[in-house]
Amino acid sequence: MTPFHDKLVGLLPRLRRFAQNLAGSISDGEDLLHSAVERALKNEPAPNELPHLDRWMFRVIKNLWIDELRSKRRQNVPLEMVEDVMSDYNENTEKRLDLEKIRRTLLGLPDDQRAVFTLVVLEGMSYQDCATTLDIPTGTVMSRLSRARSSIAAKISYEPLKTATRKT
Amino acid sequence: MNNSELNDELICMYLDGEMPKDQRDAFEHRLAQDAGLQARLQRFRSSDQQLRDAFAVSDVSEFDPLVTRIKSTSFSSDGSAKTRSKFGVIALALAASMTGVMIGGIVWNSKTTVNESGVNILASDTLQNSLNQLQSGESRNGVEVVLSFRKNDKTPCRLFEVSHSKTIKSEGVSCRENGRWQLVAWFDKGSSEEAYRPASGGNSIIDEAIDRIDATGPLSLEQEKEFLLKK
Repeated sequence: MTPFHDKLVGLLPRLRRFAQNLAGSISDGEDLLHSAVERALKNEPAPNELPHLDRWMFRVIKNLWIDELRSKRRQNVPLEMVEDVMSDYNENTEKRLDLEKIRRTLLGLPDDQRAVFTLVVLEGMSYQDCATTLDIPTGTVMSRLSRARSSIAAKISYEPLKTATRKT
Repeated sequence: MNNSELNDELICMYLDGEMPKDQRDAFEHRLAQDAGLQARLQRFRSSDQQLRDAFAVSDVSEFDPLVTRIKSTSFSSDGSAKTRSKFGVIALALAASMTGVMIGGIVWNSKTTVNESGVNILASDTLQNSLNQLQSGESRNGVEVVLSFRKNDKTPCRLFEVSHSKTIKSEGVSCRENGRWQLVAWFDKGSSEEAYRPASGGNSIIDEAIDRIDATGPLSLEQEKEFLLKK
């Protein structure tokens, strides 16, 4: 494989997460990802863009999603129940339901907040990179992120982090 | 820094390492004295971590159809993303065999029951080993063997299912010839919500393939052991 193809394969799990979070459902996210990969295969990025292929692909996904929104009004379908057929067989049902509840908390946010939260908190992007990827001002990143975190914190149960507490 | 400035945006900036040093010093000074601010910060940290855990990414699956798609494009000499014809599948298989990934016997017949995804996937040792070793009903590494049967010439065949991701599955029929499992039919089921079909309808590609090879009925587990290569 060429460096581009090799890198693209390695990025798939992250691209899939972003596409699904942006679209708000697994099936729509998968469609979005497939379209983005097809576009990337037909219009390979310049070699100097390879080090930042992840950002390049995030932008492709975001632009395709905006095109999709413009072309028709989409109805968000909640993310399907987690059905991990590859692993998690030993996870108990309660834990899976907790995870599903947490996932739905993010997916219940408005699209714009979901995208910012995914890029900054899940992807670890800087505010500036996130702003560039989504074509929005940095201040907008900050306000959307703040509202997203506030909404999420209000909806999911508080679990003190292990590093912040001492078990008795 | 006064109270009104200690809003969620500043907490976010602090959490994300986006706060300039002088502002961070002032924030930490206030943080040490303000239990409410500490609680808010901890709550954000906790929910961030829970979301990271819930959305943790998995490794790339070799059965992911997109991996197959990308790899097949990289085989293309001109780098274009054209969809391959069935002749392209043969070319791909020859290329693979020259690099040591023997596929062989790709086209069972002239019908398009074997697609590129299936050919690539069957070339993997993971799937070859699974078909050699798993009993019907067993699964490993995303491969589940559904049942076994024999062609009318006694060649062993197996119906199996491959999970490419959490929701995407494919079904295949394969028969073992010359020590390797050769693909007879392949069907990409798509996402899980599209995959559930009534037993009476649905996967005609697989059904037709089984009919065409004049299969015997399903083998019992004991009969199946005769051709398994347990390691």
